[in-house]
Amino acid sequence: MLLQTTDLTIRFGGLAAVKGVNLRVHRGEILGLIGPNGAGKTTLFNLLTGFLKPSSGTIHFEGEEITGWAPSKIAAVGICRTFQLTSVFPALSVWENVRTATYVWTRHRLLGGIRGRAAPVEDSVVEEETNRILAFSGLDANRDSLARNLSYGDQRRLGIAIALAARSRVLLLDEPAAGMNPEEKRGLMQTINDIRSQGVTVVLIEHHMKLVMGVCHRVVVLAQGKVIAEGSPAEVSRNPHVIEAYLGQEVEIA
Amino acid sequence: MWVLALQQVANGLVVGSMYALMSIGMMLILGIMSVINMSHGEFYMLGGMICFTLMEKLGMNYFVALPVTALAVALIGLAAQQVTIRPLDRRPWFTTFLTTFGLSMILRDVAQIIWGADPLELSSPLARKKVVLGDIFLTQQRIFILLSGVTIIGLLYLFIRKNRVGMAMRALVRDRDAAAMMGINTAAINRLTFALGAATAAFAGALLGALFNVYPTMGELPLVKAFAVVIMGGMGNVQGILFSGLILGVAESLAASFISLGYADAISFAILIGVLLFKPQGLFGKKA
Amino acid sequence: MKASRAIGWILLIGAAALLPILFKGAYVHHVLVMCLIFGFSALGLNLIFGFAGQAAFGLPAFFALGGYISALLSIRLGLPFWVALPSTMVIAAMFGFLIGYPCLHLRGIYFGITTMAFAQILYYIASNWISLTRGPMGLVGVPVPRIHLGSFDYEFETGFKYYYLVLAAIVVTVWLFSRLMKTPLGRAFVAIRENEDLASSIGIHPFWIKMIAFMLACTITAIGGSFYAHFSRFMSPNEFQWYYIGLTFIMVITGGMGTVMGPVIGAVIFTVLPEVFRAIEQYRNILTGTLLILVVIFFPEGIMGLVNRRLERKKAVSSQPPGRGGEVDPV
Ligand SMILES: Nc1ncnc2c1ncn2[C@@H]1O[C@H](COP(=O)(O)OP(=O)(O)OP(=O)(O)O)[C@@H](O)[C@H]1O
Ligand SMILES: [Mg+2]
Repeated sequence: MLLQTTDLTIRFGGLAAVKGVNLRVHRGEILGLIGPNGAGKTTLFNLLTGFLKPSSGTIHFEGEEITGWAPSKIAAVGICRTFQLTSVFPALSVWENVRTATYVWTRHRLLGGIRGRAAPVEDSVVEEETNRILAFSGLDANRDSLARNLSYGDQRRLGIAIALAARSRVLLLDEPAAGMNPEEKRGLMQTINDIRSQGVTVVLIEHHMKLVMGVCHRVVVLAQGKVIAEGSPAEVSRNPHVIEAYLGQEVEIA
Repeated sequence: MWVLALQQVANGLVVGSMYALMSIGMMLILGIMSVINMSHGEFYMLGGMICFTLMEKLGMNYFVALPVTALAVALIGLAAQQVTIRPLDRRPWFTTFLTTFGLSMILRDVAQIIWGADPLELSSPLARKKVVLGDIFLTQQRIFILLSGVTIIGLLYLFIRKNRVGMAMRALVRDRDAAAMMGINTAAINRLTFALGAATAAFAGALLGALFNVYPTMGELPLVKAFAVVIMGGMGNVQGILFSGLILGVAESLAASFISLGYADAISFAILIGVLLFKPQGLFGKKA
Repeated sequence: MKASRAIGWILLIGAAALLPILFKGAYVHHVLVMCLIFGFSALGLNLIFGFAGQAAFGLPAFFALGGYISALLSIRLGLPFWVALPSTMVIAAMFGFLIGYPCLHLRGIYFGITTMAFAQILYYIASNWISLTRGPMGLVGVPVPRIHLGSFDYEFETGFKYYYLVLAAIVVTVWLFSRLMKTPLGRAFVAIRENEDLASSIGIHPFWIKMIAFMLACTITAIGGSFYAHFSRFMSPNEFQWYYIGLTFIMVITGGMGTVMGPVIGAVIFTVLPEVFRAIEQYRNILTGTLLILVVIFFPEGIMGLVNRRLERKKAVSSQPPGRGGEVDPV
């Protein structure tokens, strides 16, 4: 078990946006997280990455309890995410965006000497890694464009590249296909598979069902803050609770 | 000792009602337009100055001069809003902070050129008439200030709560874009809000000016005090602001006579810092 | 590219070094020194505001604070300038920590206003703690920097000599500053400005990184104050005036927020301009205020921002395959 929550709950005033969620993420899988609007998916990501503190319940990563850690500390152990809205540094070039995201494993250059941390990382190593990630994400051609000038789809890809540059081991993607055209969506599916084959575990929030069904090994369905179903994509899409939860929502179920 | 304290509380309430009045103007501008009006203190100063001119140069009666002053400053505020705020729609929040800051520098020096740097005496006909209430006494001017402060605040409260325009204002506080979609003329509301805000400051300046004299830099401290009161009272909460203004007035007045005159003005800064540190969101009801 | 950059820097420093020789006279030298001294204020504000994106309205007060600390250390404790300056830097950083710790828990407007409230409290202390600061009378007789080794005795008592002292200091500061901005720490500042949540999601701790930026900004600003105190030989609470807040912001914005050299250029412009308009001293706030409004509305990118955008555009156009992403923000 790589990442696990136990009875995770958060309340905003009276509303429990996430209640009693027991999520299990296995090493090396692509896990889909679906559910109608307002189901609590983003909130669950915010809990996992430390942006929100749970009202009760715990989160464990590789057996270590990380409940209540600061987001930066959680990122440093390898849980990285993209954001549903802006997941880039708008006024920086694409290259600078990725380069900046290498912070976690390069920061010791300044303070490391004083604190006796890991050996300094050579500039050339960092630049090589930056270039590799840019090429991998297909953003090579746009390396000098400012992030805010990218198309919507490219901004999403840059968001993923940033998370990769931070050496994520679990990658939490919040609606990465939003605003993408069909061709870009196919490219995204390929990218997600490639990321997994590099040994990164992926958790994917997505409304676009074709993508979820095509790429996920397992799917967890959230509605009104609770897990209502869990299983293979095929099982889940047949589950009557799931169909009921989606009733009245215009969602394309494959 | 007790008599002195009581006297200071009474004086503090008078001044505090004016802090509350101008703070409501500042709160409306911040809440509706998301602008920190750094020239609020200068509108306060202009209130005192213009009232002085109306009375001394045009021989106007104080009670006529008061509303005329407020109207004049509202118009100045309207013009100022067009120049320093309207062009910055959708730009980061600190831009209007800086332009209204620039405006405050301009207004202060313009006032100095027109009226000179020395304090001028704004003589209200009520200034020398004393009223004795038990052990303490107040001038009629002070009583007039307190009563008109509370009255105007009450009227503002009713306006915001009951009037159609006031409701539109409140809709803007909740969600600008939604309000615009509902057909509310947000630009007109912005103009009205800023003019109204400027007028509250002018009123306070013309009323308090009769106690403390008027001079070009008189607005510097009231600005911070108004901001401290807004933060204490909380956004969109007229009663909260009224109480906070009165509390600040009393606290300062007591500090001035029991601690030290030099540090009395520092109280508002200390309150400002304290509240922001210990209850920032709680008192605002709106995320920073 | 690298070599041409280095040559550019050397030419710039050379030109700066020639200025007092080309333009003679004590008054001109005085203005030149003040340009560099304000350069430190602008550099400090630019670090926290331009790079790290935190509108620390109270920061310019650290100029006066630095001046007071340095003046007090040399007058009350008899420390020479060479000890007073580094001590001032350390003490200013400590003040930065004490003020930054509470303030940095707040965001945006509330952070800015709270720093300003602290600045005002410093002003009250300077005006009212008479036994320490002599209040509004100010501290007089701040000693000038002096090198005294055996029979060697050299005083920086003229504007001409002082200019080179401050020039050396600002060159070193700008050089360190531009190096810092290429380290992970420097990039972290910018990341926080650009998207604070995203920054924390890649392992940057916003609070502590902002704290480092704020303390550095306080230190740099205080260096300017220290140089000022030992140059004018006088410190008074006047230096806490809000006028300097406006002035420093104009310098930074006009020069170009978030560029390395921009603020220094802005400082030169807005130190010289008030001098040019000296005859109309009583209008200085009107001028400064008007310029502040105009610059914020019409010139938000500043001089260096504009220059960089020209360069960017060339670079982007030449390295883009046609039809892809090369467009530059039209605003
Ligand atoms: N910080 C917050 N304060 C109060 N309520 C919140 C907060 N964050 C989320 N909520 C509420 O929690 C519920 C779940 O929101 P969440 O954003 O997690 O939904 P979601 O599943 O991501 O939906 P979508 O598919 O629309 O992105 C919503 O009702 C939302 O209003
Ligand atoms: Mg969501």
